[in-house]
Amino acid sequence: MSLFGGASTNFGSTGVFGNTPATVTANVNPMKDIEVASPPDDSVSSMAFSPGVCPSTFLVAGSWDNNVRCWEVQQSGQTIPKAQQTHTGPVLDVAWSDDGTKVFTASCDKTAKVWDLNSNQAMQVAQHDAPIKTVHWVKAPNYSCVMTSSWDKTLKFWDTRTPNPMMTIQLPERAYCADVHYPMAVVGTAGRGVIIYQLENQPQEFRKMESPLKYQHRCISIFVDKKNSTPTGFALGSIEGRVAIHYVNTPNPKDNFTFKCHRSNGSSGNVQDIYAVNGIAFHPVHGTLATVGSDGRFSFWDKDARTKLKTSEQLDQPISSCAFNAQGNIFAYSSSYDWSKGHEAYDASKMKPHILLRSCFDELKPSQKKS
Amino acid sequence: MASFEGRESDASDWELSKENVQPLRQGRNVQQLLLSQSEDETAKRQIKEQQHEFEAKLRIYSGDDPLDTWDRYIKWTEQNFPKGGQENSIAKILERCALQFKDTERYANDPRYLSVWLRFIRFCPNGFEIFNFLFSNGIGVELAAFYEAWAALFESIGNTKKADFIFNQGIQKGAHPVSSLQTKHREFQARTARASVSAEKEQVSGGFIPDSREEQRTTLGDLRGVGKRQQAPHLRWTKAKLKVRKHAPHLAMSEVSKMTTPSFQVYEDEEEPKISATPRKLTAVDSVLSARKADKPSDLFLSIQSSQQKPAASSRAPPPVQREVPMYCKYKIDSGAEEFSFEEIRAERYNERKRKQAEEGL
Repeated sequence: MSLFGGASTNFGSTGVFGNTPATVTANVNPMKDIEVASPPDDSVSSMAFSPGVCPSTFLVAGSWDNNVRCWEVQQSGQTIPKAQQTHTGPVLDVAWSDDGTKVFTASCDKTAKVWDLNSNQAMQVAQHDAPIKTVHWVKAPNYSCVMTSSWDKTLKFWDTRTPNPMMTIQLPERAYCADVHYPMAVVGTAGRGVIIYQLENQPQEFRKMESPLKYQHRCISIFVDKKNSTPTGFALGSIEGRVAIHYVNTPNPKDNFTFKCHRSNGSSGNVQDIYAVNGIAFHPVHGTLATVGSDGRFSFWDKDARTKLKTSEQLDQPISSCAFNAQGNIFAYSSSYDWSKGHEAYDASKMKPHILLRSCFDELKPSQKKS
Repeated sequence: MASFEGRESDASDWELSKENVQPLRQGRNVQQLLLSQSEDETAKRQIKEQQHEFEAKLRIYSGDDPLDTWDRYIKWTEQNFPKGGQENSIAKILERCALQFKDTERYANDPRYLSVWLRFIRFCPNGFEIFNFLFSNGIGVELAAFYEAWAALFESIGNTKKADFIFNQGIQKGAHPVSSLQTKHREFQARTARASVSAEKEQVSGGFIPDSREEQRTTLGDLRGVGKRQQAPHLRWTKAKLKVRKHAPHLAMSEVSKMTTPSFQVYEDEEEPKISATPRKLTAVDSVLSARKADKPSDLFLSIQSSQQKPAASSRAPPPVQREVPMYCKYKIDSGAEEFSFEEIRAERYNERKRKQAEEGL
């Protein structure tokens, strides 16, 4: 019987990890989810699941310990460390190729690499003048390339076979977050910039827009139209507990809205504590979304009904990143220090990173309430 | 020969742009001035890189004198962005620095820190409010420069009485160095004496005319605070006000406002301007305008205001709006003129550590 398997699986009653929750303290894993074996030694910067074309499910995670790790996630919930690669600086982002044979990694060492999983060989594919914050694989009918964005204020597109970029686009500011869903790409920058690119034929700027948010951009994720699965907009998360839902081409400006999240009532009355939104991920089947924050919680939302579906208990550490697998039955989230309170609040001996896997298919079903 | 030519072209660059350069009290470094004026792309990039380096240093400094980095950054900015205005963010940097250390006791009477405040005050329309804030928070109160600047501000609006008071207060407190303060005080006294003598002379020769000059200046002059709390005066040119002036034609506005108990009934407008009656269309325009102005009531002013309101707050009902408190190191994110992300700060620290390790390894 598979633990993540079908939507109707009775989670937790079977499977090899049925007994684990008893051995871990409640704060580390208050949601009683499955812990990934041999997690990274330092903060997890980003995670990504293998695409649906792969016969089995793999998870890769980039870490501040300079390593990228790959696990096989079995339907029983068991995780098996498979391989790892190393950069000469912290890894900031990871991405899969569409065929699931390669992983791309971006690092503070100013390079991006392609990691061929079959041969377990890694090779540099991109070079910037500053750390590379994001990396994505672009698969168009007439071309395919790696897109990297960096704190050197450029967005670059790389053919993986040549050392020079196919194209370099100047950004108004340092890149903080980006997402790609062909034929759309979007980049959030310092100074609250958002730039949308269209990738058809070749990448070109589609629109620069004014930010719907008041504070620093932190994470961005493209969502698709439910009917035809083409990208129609994006969710943008800020450093101060808010997410903006923005449609790129909407006749009705009221479709765009922002909502508060990752906040909690402070110790004294009338005070609300606000935390950074560290990650946003859209569910591949339901189109609902998950957010994770510095407050150590994850939340599930239905943007169409404009309602919250669920909020987790509070973990003992911030949640630094999250991801759904291709089938949408596993939600992975990483509890590790996100530097939100600077180095003063960092205690390497107490802040051991964890990656947790949650059976989530039912919890992310759209709200039944009328919107 | 070549070097001479180079210098000549530099000089012509300078000739073209010198009227844009704001004077600095301590003068300017010619090399840096030319570099900052240059239209050359590499020079511009170099400046940007240096600025970014300073910005990073502000955030990862871990020694025991964080003000030093700020001090150097401010001096560097003054040298490299000589034009003032938007492109230079000196006002913003000064404000951030002032805000960051306002509760740091050991900097309260550090001349470097006081000079940050005094430089910042030049960008502020409400200098008196800030001096009051500094005084009540004990910032700079042991330094002569504080009283000199404060007195100068009073003198600049013609309030010599108050300026004199400030000088005396500073001397009484033994502000360091007292000798400088005493010299400045004597100079001030000589100035005011000279001014009053010449004013008397003019009055004798000019008959009843000088009074009108006095009035004109007041009308066009700056709005100045009234009373202990430095509240804004009610300057309304209604008929009622004019009537009052007719009864007391020899009183200049400044003198009227100084009176604590006016001998006449102050006329107050009965009709309050009704804001709610503003047509809707205007609000749409407003939001665009206010978006640009949003920077103005900065964190610093808010903190100054809140500190001034503290005694009154207890009597008032608590505000119904929930106060939002960011639970991240906001002061690091918005430290200088740029914003940094958590990851950038962490990466800077990582690189710094690596650099040190490499040095030690060698």
